[in-house]
Amino acid sequence: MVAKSISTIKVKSIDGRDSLFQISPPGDVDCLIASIKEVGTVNPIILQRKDSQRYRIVVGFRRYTAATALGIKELAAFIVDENATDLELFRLAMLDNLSIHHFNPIEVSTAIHKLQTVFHLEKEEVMRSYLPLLGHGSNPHVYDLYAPLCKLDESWQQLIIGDLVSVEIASLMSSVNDQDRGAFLILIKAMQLGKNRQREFWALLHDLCRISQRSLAEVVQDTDFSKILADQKLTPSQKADRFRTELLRRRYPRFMQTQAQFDALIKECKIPPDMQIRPSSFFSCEEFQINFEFKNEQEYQAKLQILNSLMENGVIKKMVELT
Amino acid sequence: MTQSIRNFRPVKILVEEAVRQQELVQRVLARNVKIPIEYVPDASGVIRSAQVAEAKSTWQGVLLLAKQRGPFLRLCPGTSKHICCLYHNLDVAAGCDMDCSYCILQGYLNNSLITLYCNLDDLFVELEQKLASHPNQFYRIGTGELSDSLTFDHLTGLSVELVHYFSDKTNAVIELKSKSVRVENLLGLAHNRRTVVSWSLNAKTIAKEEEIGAPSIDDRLEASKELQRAGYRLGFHFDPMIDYPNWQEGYRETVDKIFRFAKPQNIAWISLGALRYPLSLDAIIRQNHPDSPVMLGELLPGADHKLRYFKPIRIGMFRKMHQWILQHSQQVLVYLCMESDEVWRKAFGWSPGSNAGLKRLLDFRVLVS
Repeated sequence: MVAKSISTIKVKSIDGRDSLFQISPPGDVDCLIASIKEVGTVNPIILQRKDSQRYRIVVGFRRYTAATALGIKELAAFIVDENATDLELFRLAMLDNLSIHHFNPIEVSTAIHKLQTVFHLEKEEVMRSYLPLLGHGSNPHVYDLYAPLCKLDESWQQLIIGDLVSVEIASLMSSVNDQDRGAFLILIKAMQLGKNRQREFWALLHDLCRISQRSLAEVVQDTDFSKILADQKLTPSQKADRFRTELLRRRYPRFMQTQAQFDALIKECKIPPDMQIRPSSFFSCEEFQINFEFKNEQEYQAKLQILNSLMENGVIKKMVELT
Repeated sequence: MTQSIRNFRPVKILVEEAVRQQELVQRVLARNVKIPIEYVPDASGVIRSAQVAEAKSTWQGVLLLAKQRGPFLRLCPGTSKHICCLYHNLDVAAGCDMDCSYCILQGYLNNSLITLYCNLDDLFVELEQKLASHPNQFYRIGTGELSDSLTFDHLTGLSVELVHYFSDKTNAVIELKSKSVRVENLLGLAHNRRTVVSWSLNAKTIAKEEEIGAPSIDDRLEASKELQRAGYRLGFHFDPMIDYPNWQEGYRETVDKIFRFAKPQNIAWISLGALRYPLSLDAIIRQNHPDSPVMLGELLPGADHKLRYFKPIRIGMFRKMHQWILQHSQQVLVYLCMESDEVWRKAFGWSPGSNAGLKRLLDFRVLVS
C-alpha cells in the first residue's frame, strides 16, 4: 500500500487543508518544531497523490504544520499506492497514530464519525472492525457514548481531552440544547466539579427540570443557586457542597426537611464533638446510633449525664417522632 | 372507559425441542396457525441472545415455548428486614405484554421474550409431591410473579387446569393475579373456591399512563364482578402505589369502585405496596420509559437497599388507604407487601409481627372453601 522508496516532495504541493485522513487536531507543535530544528524530520510523512499537481496528507499532519511554520521547502515522504482505497488509508492513518499514542475520547469520536459519515460504514461494521482497534469493546454502548463527542463545541472538547469531564456526561451533553449545555458547563467550571459530582448534579438537575417542567438553564437561574455561585467568599468546593444541599432539598423535600429538623435538634442540645447521634440511613428504620468516647469513669459518667439530659429534655422523644 | 381489550398475538413462536410433544405446545400452536414457528434445540441460548441490549427490539412479540428446568414452585424470597407473607410462586411463564413502566421484570428478566413453560406434567408432579408431602402446611400459590396470570390464557388455557387441580386441595389455594379482563376460561369451572382471582389495581391516572398495555380499572373491576358471580374469591393488589400530586383522589376513587363491584365477604384480601425497585432498575426504567414520571418521587435506598419512597410518605399512603377500605368494610383483610414491622404499626396501628404471623392471617382467609 505504501511505496517502499522515499520521495522528496515540495511542501507547497501538499494540500494541508485537506483533512480527509486527519484524526487528531495539530494541537501544540512547538516541541516538534524544536525537534525538527535540531535533527530534522526523522520519519517521512505519508502522502496520497490527489492529482498531477497536489498531494493529500495521510499521515504526518503535525510534521507538515511544523515544517510549514519553519519554512521548510521539501519533505521526505512515502507515496501510497494509487490503488489503495481511502478507507484503507484511513485505517493506515489510525494505525500509525495509535502506534504513537492512545486516542483520547475526541480522537475516538472523530474516527467513528469519519468512518460512518465519510467512509459510509454501517454502525455494526464500525463496532466490529474498528472499536477494538481503538481500544474498546465491540459494544453499542461504547459506540453511542463516543460517537457524539466530536460534535461538541471546543470548550467541552477541551474538558474531555483534559479528562476534566466524564465521557458519560459529555456524551449526554450532545443531546442537550445549547442553553442547558452552556449552563451546565458554567456549573462545572465555577465549582470545579469532579466527575462523580458532575454525574450527581446532572442526575439531580435532570429530575428537577422534569419535576418543575423548566429547562436546566432556567432552574439554575433561581435565586438560591445564583447566590451560591456568586458568593465570592466561598471556595469552589464550598459552593459545590451548598449547591448540592440545595439540589437535594428540592429533589427530596420531605427527607431533607426531616434531616434539617434532626440536625437542628442535635445543634440545639450542644452535644460535644466526641459524641455522635445518627439516625438510620435516610431514616429508613426507627433505630438511632450513639457513639461516644471516654477515658475513665468520670468521663463515662459525664457522657451518660449528657445522654440522660437528652431524655429528660424531650430531645430523644422528638428524634423518635421524626422517624 | 375501555382501554381496548387486546389479546397478545405472537409475531413468531420458538419451540424448544424438549417440549415439542407437550400437549400445551400443541394447544398453543393450534391457536396460532398462521404464526411462523421455529424449533430450537435449547431455550437458554435463545434467552441469552434476547438479553443482548441491541437485540431486544428484535425479540419483541416472540413467544418461546420452553421446558422449565428448575423447580416450578419457589417460596417468595422476601426481602431482608421486611415482613413477607411466605407466598409460593409458581413460575409457569416469564415475561409480560402489558409494558407497565414500573415493572420489575424489565430488570429481572432483562429480555423482551415471552416464555411459557410447557412441561405441565412436571409441574403437576412437583405440585403433588409438595402438597402431599406437607399435608399440614398451607400453601398460597400464585402464578403472577414473573408474568401476568391471565394475559396469555387465551393461548394456553392453563387457568382451567390450575383451577381444576386446586379445586380438591385442602392445604392450598391458587391465586391468579392479573390486570387482564380475559376471564372467560374461568367461567363455569368447578373451582370449589380454591382459586382466588386477584386484580392489580391502581389510581385511574396511573393505570392509564403507566400501565399502557393493560385494560382500564373499570374493565378490570367489571371482570372481577363477573368472577364474583361465578363464585370465586377475589383479591385486589394496589402494588405499586405511586406517589403523585393527586394520589389521594385517585386511589380513593379506585377503592370506592372496588366496593361497588365486589362484596366484602368475597374479598380474600387487599394488599398495599408502594413503588420499590432495586437501584439497578432505575436506569432501565429511565431508558425504557423516558417520559414516565414514576422515578421522580422521593425514592431513597431502604434497609433492603431497594429504592422506596421516604418512609413517612409510604406510611401516609398506607394509612389513608387502610382507612378508606375499612370505611367500606371492617371485614376485609388489608395487608402490606414487603414492609417493616414499624411501617405496619405506624400505618395500621398493629402489625402481624413476623412472616409467620402474616402468613397465618392470610391463610385463615382461605383455609376452608
